[in-house]
Amino acid sequence: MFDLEFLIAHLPVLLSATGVTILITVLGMALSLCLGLVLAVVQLYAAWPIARLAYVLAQCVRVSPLLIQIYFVFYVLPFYGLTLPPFLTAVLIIGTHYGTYASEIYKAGIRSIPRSQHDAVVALNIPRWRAWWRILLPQAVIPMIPAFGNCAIAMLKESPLLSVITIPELVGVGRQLAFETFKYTEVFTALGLIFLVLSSLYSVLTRWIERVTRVPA
Amino acid sequence: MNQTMSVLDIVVFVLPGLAATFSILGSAVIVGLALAILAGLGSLSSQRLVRVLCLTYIEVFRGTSFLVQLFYFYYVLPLLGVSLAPFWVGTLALGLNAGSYGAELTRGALLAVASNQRDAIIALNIPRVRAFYRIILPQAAARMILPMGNLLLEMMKSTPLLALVSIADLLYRGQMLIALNGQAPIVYGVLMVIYIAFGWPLARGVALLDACVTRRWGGAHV
Amino acid sequence: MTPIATMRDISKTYTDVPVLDRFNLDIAPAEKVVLIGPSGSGKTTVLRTLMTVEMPDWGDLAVDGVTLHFGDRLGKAPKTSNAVLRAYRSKLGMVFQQFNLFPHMTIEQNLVEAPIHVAGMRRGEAVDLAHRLLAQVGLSDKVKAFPNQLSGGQQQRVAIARALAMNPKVLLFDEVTSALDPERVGEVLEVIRDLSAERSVAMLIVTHEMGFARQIADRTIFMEAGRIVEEGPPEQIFGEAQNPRTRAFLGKMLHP
Ligand SMILES: Nc1ncnc2c1ncn2[C@@H]1O[C@H](COP(=O)(O)OP(=O)(O)O)[C@@H](O)[C@H]1O
Ligand SMILES: [Mg+2]
Repeated sequence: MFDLEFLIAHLPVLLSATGVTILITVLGMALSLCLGLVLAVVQLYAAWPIARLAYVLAQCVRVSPLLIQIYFVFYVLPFYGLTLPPFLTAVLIIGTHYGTYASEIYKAGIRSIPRSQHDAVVALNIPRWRAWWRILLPQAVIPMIPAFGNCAIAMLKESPLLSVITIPELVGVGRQLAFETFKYTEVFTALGLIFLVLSSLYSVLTRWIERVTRVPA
Repeated sequence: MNQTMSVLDIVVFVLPGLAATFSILGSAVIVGLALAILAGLGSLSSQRLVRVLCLTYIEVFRGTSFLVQLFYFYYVLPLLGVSLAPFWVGTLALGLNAGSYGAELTRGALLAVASNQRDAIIALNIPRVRAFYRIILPQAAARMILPMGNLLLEMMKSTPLLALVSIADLLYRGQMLIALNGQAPIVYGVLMVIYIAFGWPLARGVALLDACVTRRWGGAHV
Repeated sequence: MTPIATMRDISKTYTDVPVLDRFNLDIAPAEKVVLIGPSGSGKTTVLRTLMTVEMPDWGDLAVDGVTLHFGDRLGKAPKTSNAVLRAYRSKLGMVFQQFNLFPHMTIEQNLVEAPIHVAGMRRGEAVDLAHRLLAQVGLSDKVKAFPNQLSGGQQQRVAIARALAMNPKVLLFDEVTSALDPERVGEVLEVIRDLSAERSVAMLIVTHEMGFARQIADRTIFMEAGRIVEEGPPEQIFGEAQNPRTRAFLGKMLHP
């Protein structure tokens, strides 16, 4: 009934597609961490109209579905004569979508820095940039790590949507394989297991990062 | 249909999809909420079997991609002899997925409140059952407003995936229209606006409700 | 006189660190015992094991004729039944450093919860009792407020009233003023002082307020590293302590 030999024979195909999924997640996460910081700083510290505009744009991206955004960007850009390679488009879209999540995390973290710490850097006359870089941001960032971890794992699990714009990631490749061979049960079970393994690996990794970065009590 | 369909025409055309989207979302919310409460409580049960079953459900559905789950319901279940109507494919896939996230939230909130209030409950000698529904449950519910609201938003944002398994939701109707008139940018733009029109007030409403409870109870979130 | 509360050979270990090793304490009816000692010496653990918020590893506890056995190193006692545990706990009340009020209930609901659902009092009666106790701690106007609308000192006074509502034989206070702003400390100490004057309840009080300790105590105990170093009437401990460690501790507390 369950054709294990088939699966073993096609495992390399699935694993290389897994590589694409991971690559997209890593690049997307890198983009969203940078974009999120910019968005957060603009929303918190820019002049009112600019901060407000950034907020409204970020909210629009955050509350609407990634799949619609993928289609929108993929079909709208060429309409105005702008064609980017699909892979780049994919990373830009998913990175931007999750960048709006990251900006919420940064904002909450920055707001949670105690007033007393701001007072302390002023009282010690530490230059503004150095204060942010060496004192304020580090204590805000460490508590954010679990939230970014959740973000990354959510991105990993949502990256299969990019298969609709021909990205050869895990689920798209798997579905194609299933179509061609009619081995639906085997393929989709394998996809599920691969995701389970990836997310457990990920939670081991984040737990390790949390332990390493924990401030001793 | 001609090349110059107005925005209003587009909205009218995709409207039946809106009904499909929201009827599936509504029934999935009921399924998901029931599962969240049952599996959340079950994961804290003193019965080993119940606990293991609930934790396994939570881990499996949280650990895999929603798209894979949806494809499983759509492609694999019929091979195993279970053929579901599209409405039920959507409802069950979405409900089971959200239920696992909701169960984890329920579990976390109950554990956190129980540990915060443990000393007072023991010192006042309040019986277990009473302590659970009068002290722990209300505070856990308050804590869950924001994450559950976010989960609802995520559920809504997942509904367009149903179009990938031929359920005639908003996105599906939109793509039918694009096949007819080729106006991809404006149709996808209209869809975006429709989702924002529902998602934004939902996000704001949940935040306001949470702020309201926090103002009154304060410590409920500590 | 037979003691109202007894701790006999109580031992408690947290993850390898023995905090209490065969700790003994008797409290006479209506006696006010003040427990002092450096931070980490095990004062909180004494109170928490007596309240059974934390279960002792070994030893016996008894309050007003209800006894709990935890066995000794030679063998664990059989598990205490829930009924006995509940009977035991009903003799005690505890007030915590962090108040531990129920944040989603009004002050009145906080006070009537246990009388109605633990002691089986009728609602009308419990509400009357709550109002009387709130008047006693000077908070009659806060009946319908929620805890987070009150200052720390007010919340702590509510917590004291809440513990009193169950009419305990022994009240335990664990540094109940340590989380308060300095100007709020006095109002809470005053409530405790008034209570000790007019009620026959015994008290076991952990505090760093030495003036208050000296005033209120019938007996003062100095403990260090999980052991009682010296005990006696407050005049003796504060005036002419015998043990050099007691004197060193008091020297630091009184003339920092
Ligand atoms: N829950 C716990 N887990 C581990 N160690 C604890 C715990 N509670 C207390 N301790 C340890 O027990 C010792 C006594 O603590 P405690 O009774 O709180 O002292 P005190 O109240 O006198 O400051 C301390 O060394 C403390 O670190
Ligand atoms: Mg202490």
